[in-house]
Amino acid sequence: MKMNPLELITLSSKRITPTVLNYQIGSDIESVLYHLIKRLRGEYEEFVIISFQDAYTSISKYLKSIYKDAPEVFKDTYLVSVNPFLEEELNPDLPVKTKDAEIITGRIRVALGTKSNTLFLVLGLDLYGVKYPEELVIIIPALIRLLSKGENNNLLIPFNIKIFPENIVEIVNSFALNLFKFGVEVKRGEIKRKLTIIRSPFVEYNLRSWYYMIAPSKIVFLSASMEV
Amino acid sequence: MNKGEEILVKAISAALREVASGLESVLEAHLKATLNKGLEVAYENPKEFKDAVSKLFGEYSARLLEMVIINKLKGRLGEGEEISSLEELVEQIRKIYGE
Repeated sequence: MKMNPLELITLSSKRITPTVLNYQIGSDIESVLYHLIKRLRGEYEEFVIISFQDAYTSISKYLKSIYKDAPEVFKDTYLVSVNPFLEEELNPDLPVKTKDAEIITGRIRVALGTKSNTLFLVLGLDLYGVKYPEELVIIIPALIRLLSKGENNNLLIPFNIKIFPENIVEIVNSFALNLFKFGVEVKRGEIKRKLTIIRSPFVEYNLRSWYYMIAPSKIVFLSASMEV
Repeated sequence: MNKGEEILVKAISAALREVASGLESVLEAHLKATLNKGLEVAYENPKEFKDAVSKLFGEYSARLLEMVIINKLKGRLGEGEEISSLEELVEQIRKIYGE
């Protein structure tokens, strides 16, 4: 069976969770998230976004400027906004203003309870981690445990691993059942984006890489010698 | 280049090397092509710099880079300073260096 890498990520995330999208700056992770959410949204009863440090505002502003159906894809979302500033304009369902990891997860636990058949998107955990590195080691395991509890949940976490020390990388790697790397290479002054499947249930694809380009309505993946 | 500008440009270069090695020259070329300026535009006009970074790397990556730059200079800004944006960072640097 030959799968498009985006289809592979979609299916992997449905089969096991959490899924960590380890992205580098310049990898256009926003577009990847848009296409993933578009594919997954209809498969779940609820869609919850947990956004740290205004990450959702950043992403939605960017996506709305590129994809005209972005508001439709992200509509009726339950928004948890941790340390919002700009995001207060979106009237989040649950605003949480504290740096304390235990209070944050406690507030989310109380508000959400144990959800099932829910798609979770956790944004800006790396932004929060840059600002409060000592809290990151507490919040990653706590949040993953909390959101993975119910039946048939799908948890997606874009996270820039590169900016953190080894202990954080180890924590993220140990919790990520699916791990996909969205990197960039610079060749002759041009950015080339590259996806590598690090860990997925489709073991025959693990450690395979594709270059990718963002086209208006899709992501075009190119392996070393052929288009997928 | 004045002191505040120099400190900020060095922090941006260090942040880029740390989180996006290889992309510093791409960003400099982009700034040169679009604004006819270098990294110093971040000090002159932080909003313009952020818009240019967003156009090149995406809004999310731009926000992450902004946080890393702020973090790089945290130690120089004094205790208790809660800075959330490049604009606030530049304002604070200007205050400290009286520029």
